[in-house]
Amino acid sequence: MSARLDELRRAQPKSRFMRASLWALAALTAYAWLSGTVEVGELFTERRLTNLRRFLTVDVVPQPARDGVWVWSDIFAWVRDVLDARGWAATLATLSISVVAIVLAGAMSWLLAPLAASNLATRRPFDADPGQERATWRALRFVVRGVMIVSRAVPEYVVAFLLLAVLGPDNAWPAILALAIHNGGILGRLGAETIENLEPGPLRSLSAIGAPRRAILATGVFPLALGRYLLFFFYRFETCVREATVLGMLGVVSLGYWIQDARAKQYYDEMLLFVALGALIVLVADLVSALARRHVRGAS
Amino acid sequence: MTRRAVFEFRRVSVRYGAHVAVDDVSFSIGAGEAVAFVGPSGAGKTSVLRLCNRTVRPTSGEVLASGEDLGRMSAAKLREFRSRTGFMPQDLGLVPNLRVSQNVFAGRLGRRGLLASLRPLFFARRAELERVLVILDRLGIGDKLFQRVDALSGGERQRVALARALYQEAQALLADEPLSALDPARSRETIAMLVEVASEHGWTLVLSMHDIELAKQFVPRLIGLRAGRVLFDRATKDVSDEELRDLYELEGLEHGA
Amino acid sequence: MAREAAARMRVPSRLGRRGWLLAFVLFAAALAWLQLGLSVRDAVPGDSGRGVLSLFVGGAFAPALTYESDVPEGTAPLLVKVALAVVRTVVFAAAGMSLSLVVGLLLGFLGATSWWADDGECTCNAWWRKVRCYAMPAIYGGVRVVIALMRSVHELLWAVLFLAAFGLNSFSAVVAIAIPYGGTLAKVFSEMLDECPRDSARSLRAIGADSVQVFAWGLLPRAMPDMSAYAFYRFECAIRSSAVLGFFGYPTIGYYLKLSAENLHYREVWTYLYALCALVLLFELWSSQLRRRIVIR
Repeated sequence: MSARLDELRRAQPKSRFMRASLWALAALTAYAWLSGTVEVGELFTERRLTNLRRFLTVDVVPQPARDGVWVWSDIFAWVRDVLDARGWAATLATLSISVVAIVLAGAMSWLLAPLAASNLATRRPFDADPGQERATWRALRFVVRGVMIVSRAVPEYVVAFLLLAVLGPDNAWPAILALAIHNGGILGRLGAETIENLEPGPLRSLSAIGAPRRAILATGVFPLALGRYLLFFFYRFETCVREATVLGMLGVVSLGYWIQDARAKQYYDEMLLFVALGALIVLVADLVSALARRHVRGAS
Repeated sequence: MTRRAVFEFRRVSVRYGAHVAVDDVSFSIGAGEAVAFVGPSGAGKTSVLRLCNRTVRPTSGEVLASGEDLGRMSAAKLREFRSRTGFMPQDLGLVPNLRVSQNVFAGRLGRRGLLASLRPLFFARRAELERVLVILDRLGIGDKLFQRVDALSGGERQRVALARALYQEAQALLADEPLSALDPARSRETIAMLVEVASEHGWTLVLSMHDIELAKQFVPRLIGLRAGRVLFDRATKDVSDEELRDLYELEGLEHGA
Repeated sequence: MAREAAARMRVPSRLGRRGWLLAFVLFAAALAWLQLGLSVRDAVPGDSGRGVLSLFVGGAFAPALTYESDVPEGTAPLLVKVALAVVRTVVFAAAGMSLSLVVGLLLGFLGATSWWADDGECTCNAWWRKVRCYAMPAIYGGVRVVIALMRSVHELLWAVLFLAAFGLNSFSAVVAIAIPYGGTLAKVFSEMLDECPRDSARSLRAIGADSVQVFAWGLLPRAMPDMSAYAFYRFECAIRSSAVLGFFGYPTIGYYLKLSAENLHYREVWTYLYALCALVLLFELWSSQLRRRIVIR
């Protein structure tokens, strides 16, 4: 019996790759915590805790209450002043940046996705008999996929930082373009996957009656893929708002700009207020995106 | 041979909104008996089976298990009772991406504390594995011990579910349409095995079946259900062909109305 | 007859619901464009910008292998520095990710309803019924709020807050990653746990398993493939986040990239960019291979 158990255990199906990956991940995690790069203990030294105490008891206390007297009407007035002077305009700018960016990203992905989908970017799209694949199509798909991969591999923060040096901080373009490039790459890949997963039946019949590529795209692929694509689109919108807030820290006038500004001046009360405002609009964007996605699902 | 009833229904009804699934049903099943509920789909067979371990509660009437009212049992008592009662739902309820061994181990969850029940998921003891292997060998699928359940065929999965009940050391087994996913040859084999294993271990076996021929051949007592009501309840040899015809034909009429 | 059939078929409005949604999005974009006072001309670099651009583009074809300017004696070679930056980037990501996995699993468990709400008529015990009717929904609601709050603040903003509160400390950077990532994992995990098929869970409950056992044996294994695939995807994101944390003084790729860019050493910038791209691509390749093996459909 025992021998048989060992034999069965030896014969059990297992993937060497999975096993190696698990060990690699475990080793990576262990190294991350034990190599000394992450100084856990140092965070709890006296100096850090003194900092924290000062931060919590003095720095983040709203300015009118610094003397220890919490007069709510004064604090509200202070909040209103900060919001009127900078907060509302920055919030609006943040939202505007993310809306323009996501629309540009959408446009970019609509251009790229059909060129990257293997069932469309081929000699005879959706043909039951695809025939001999031409090297040019394969090369095109490879290049487009490469562009998408690189554009999403670089974080938007880095792209915006580099664009800022080229375009200057006078307008919102660096932030918009950075967001559009990154999300265009992501939406492009998701769009291509959506197209590849489409039910081939109706599209085959279009191709069987000799419809040209453009017609297949306009009457078949786009309408069929739109629903799922929109789900991704609104999901990315949510992350766009989150990122747009942060990109301001580089110098574009969104909420992040004022967070950085307050930080530089060590007005931590104000900084906290802007961070909270940022959290608020992310929550709102979350809600809008969830509602829009429900709307899309309801339509399908 | 007068043994205490393992399951006793006293005027049990189950209603889902306006729909009456089980309508004033009474019967009792003795220890070690094998009973099949037969009837067309929608007759309430599944509900009756689920009433037996209180995964469905009666709207009125009471279900007694070994003389005790299931409706009044405490949570701990119910858990203990369920852990002694094997259950094979129609979809079998196996975890497809766990191994056969792990699925069988799950049979003892009801009698284990939290930590003790988590261990076999990750580190099975040798003795445990060997016990499972004996059971699987008895059912002819010993070689599948470490396979994932989703890699098995329908008949093999059926055996895994049965193995789980065996490992559970159940005293009764409730099996809902155990043959529904099998081809005719496998069906015969499986029902024979179920009845054999049940008598071997002295289980009370409660089945629901729609294949009347197999039920007649293998199960000594039949209870005919139609539209939630008991149409007949007697030893298989006493069930007339006419009764069986009524069971199915009347149903057709009612649907037409 | 045909006319009747046609009348019975609902004729969709020309735009349809999705069309209206698209139109609304475009309208919003137009408003946003005006609000920001954008013009296409501004998206084209000016004179000074063109100079930077040509330097930058030139660097792409000749990434630096040694420092572009003189460095003090004894400085490690550039490529060693790049390699160290890459390692630290991975270390921050791995530490943050492992922490957020713990948080995400715990909160994902508490934020899921399937293991306690669907309890198959087991609740005759008055005490447990009270727990199920009041305590569990309260915990669930509370956890959902916590998850939303954790997610609503970007990891860089958490990092900035911790910088202000503690000063520069690497563990606080890890925590800054772990908070929003943990929240996101918790949200997605709990949704996966609630959406996975319940048949195994029900059958386990029917043979006496309690709620936590049902979770561990019936729900978690079924949701596991999707959950691990998603966690891998987040690991990829964590590497990007960790690289960007360098902009705030942590010793990851972003830190050195920023320094080089500020010194106008664009060839060095490209060295770091290529290293970052290679790193992210490597992880993407790895995770796509893993996902293909885990998610069996």
